[in-house]
Amino acid sequence: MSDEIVVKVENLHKSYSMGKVKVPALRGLSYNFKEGFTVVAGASGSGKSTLLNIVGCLDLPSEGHVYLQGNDIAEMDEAARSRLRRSHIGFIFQSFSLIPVLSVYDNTEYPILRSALSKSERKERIMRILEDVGLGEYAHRFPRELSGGQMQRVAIARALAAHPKLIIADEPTANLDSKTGEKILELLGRIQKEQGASVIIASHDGNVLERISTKLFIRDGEVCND
Amino acid sequence: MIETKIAVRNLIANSRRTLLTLLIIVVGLTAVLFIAGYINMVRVGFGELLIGEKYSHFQIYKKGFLDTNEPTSMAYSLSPEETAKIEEILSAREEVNFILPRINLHGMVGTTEDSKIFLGYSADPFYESFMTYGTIEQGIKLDMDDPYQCVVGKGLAKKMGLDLGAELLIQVPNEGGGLEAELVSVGGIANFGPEELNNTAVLTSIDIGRSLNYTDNNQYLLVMLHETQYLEDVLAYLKDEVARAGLDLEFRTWVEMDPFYQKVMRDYTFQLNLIAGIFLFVILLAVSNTIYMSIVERTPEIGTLRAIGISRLEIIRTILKEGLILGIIGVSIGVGLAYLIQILLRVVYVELPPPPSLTNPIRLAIGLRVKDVFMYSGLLAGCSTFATLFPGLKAANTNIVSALRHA
Ligand SMILES: Nc1ncnc2c1ncn2[C@@H]1O[C@H](COP(=O)(O)OP(=O)(O)OP(=O)(O)O)[C@@H](O)[C@H]1O
Ligand SMILES: [Mg+2]
Repeated sequence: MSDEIVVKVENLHKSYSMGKVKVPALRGLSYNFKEGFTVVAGASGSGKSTLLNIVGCLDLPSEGHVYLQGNDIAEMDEAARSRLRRSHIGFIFQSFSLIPVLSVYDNTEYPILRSALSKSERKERIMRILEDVGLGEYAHRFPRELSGGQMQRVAIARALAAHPKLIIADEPTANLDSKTGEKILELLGRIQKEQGASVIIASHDGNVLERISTKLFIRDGEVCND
Repeated sequence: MIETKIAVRNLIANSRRTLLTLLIIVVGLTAVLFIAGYINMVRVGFGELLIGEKYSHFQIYKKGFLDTNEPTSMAYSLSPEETAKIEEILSAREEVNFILPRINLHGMVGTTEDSKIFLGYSADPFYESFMTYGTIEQGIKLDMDDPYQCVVGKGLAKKMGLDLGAELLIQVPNEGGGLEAELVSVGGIANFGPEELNNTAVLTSIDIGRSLNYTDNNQYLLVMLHETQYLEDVLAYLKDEVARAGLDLEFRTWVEMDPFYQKVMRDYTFQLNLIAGIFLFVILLAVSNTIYMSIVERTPEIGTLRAIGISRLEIIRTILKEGLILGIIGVSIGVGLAYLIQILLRVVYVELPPPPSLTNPIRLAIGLRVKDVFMYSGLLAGCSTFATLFPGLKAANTNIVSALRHA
C-alpha cells in the first residue's frame, strides 16, 4: 500500500447550531487519509458522518482545512465543490439514496451524463460497472423492485460511474443484514483494488473493523489514539 | 433529457395531485378562451352590423369638414372632380366593393296639414340599396329611376298620416337664413330600429340633397370593401395616393366613428383580462403548491442529487420542467377543449336571450382567434412554469447534509 496522501484534514472544527446552542461535532481533528481503504470508527454521535461530509465536500468545516487534490475545499465556492463531487468523489449512503423514478441504469448513469463521454461510451461503462456489482440483469429495473443489498450495489455502481479518485461510504452496511453487508464490503474491497480508488468508510460494525487495516478512531470529534 | 424524464415521472408518481393541477389549468384556459371567443364573435358580429348598416368600412371627407362639427355643412364638400379622382384611385383596388356618396340633411318635412322636423341624408340610390340601414315595410328603398321618391321612418309616416305616394315638402335652411325646398313623394316606409329614428328619419336621393344645397358636390363618401380585413391596407394605399394627387382629405374608419362600440369592446376585453388574471393567479398558487409539496417530499432525493454533484441549475431546471410540462399538457387540453366547444356550438343550437338593443334571441357561438389562443395559452403555460420557480429555488438550495440526514 502506498503512502500517498489522498485527503489531508487539519485542525477541523465543526459545530452545528441548534437554536442558540452550538453543538460541537468535531473539535480540532487532524488526519492524513492515505491511498487505499480507511475505516472511520467511533461510537454513535462521535462525529463520523460530520467528518465524511466535510471530506466529501458536502459540508464546510467551521474552522480548519481540508486538502483534496492539493486544493483547500473550504476556499471553493459551492459550484466548484459540486463539480469536484461529480468528477472526483463517489458517495454511498446508509439509506442507499437512489432516485426512485429512475431505472437502475439511469441512476447509475446520472453522474456522468454531462461528462465528455459519448452515449455509447457511457453505456459501455455503465453496463460494465453494473456487471461488476452483479446487477447486469437489473439495468432496467426500478429501485422499488430491488432488495436492500441490490439497492446498495446500485449506489456503489453510481458512485463508481465517474471513476472517482475517492469513494465515501457512510455506514453502507448499517441497513443490511450481516451477510449482505459482508458482500457489499467484499465488493468495495475488490473495487478499491481494481480501480485504485481510495475508500473512506464510516462504520461501527465490528465486521467492518476486522476487515480493514487502516483505522481512524474518533471520539467526541477528536482522534482517539487508544 | 434526464431532467424531463425525472419531471415527467415525478408528475406521474403524484398522479392525483398532478391531475388536480392539470384540471385547474384546463378549466382556466378553456374558460378564458371561451369568453375570448364569445367576445370575438360579438366584436365581429356587432362590427359587421355597424359596417353594413351605418358606417361602411371608412368614410372620406374634405379636410376641415370634421372640424366644423356641423353635420349638414356643405362648406367642406367634395367636388365632382375630387370624387372622380378618388374613384379613380380606388378603382385600382379590387378589395373595394363600392363607393357611396352622401349629403346629410336636417330640416322640416311638411304636408298640407302638418310639418315635422326630420333628420336624414340623401344618397346614391343604387349603392344605398346595399346598406342594411332600415327595413323597408312598405314600398321600396330609394328609387333608382326616380330621384323624387323618398323613404320615411314608420313613426313619422304614422304621425303625419303618410301613405305610399303621399307628397312631402322637404325644407332645409340655407346659408342666408332662408329655406330651400323640394317636393318629393313617399316611395318607401321603413323601420329604422329605435323609435326616435323612426319618428324623424327621411332618406332621399343624392340629387335632392344636391339640389337643396345648390351644388353638384358630395358631402362625403362611404367606402365599402369586400372584407373588413382589407381596411388597413386599402386605407394606407388611399392616403398615399391622395397625398400624391394633392387632394386635401380626411378619413374616418368605422371603428373611429363609433365610440360606443369601442367602449363596449374595451370593457369586454378588460373583463376578460380580469378573469384571465384571476385564473393566472389561481394557477400560480395551484402549481406552486403542487410542486412545493412534491419537492418537500423529495428532499432526500434532491439532497442525494446535490451530493453526487448535480448542480443547482440542473435541479432548478428539473423542477421548472415539471411546471412547464404541466403547463403544456394543461394548455393543450384546454385549447383542444375550447375548439371542441366552438365546433359543438355550430352543431348544437344554444339560445341566448336577446341583448338589450335587439329583439330576437341570438345563437350562442364562439369564434376563437389564433392570436388569442396563442396569447392566453402562452400566458397560462408561462405562469405554470413561473410558479415552479420558487419551489425550484428552494430545492436548489436544499441543505445537502440535513437532507441526507432525513433520508
Ligand atoms: N445537522 C445537525 N444539527 C445538529 N446537530 C448535529 C447535526 N448533525 C450532527 N449533529 C450532532 O453532531 C454530533 C456528531 O454527529 P455525527 O452524525 O457526525 O455522528 P456519527 O458519528 O455519524 O453518529 P452515527 O454513528 O449515529 O451516525 C452528534 O452529537 C450529532 O447529534
Ligand atoms: Mg453517522
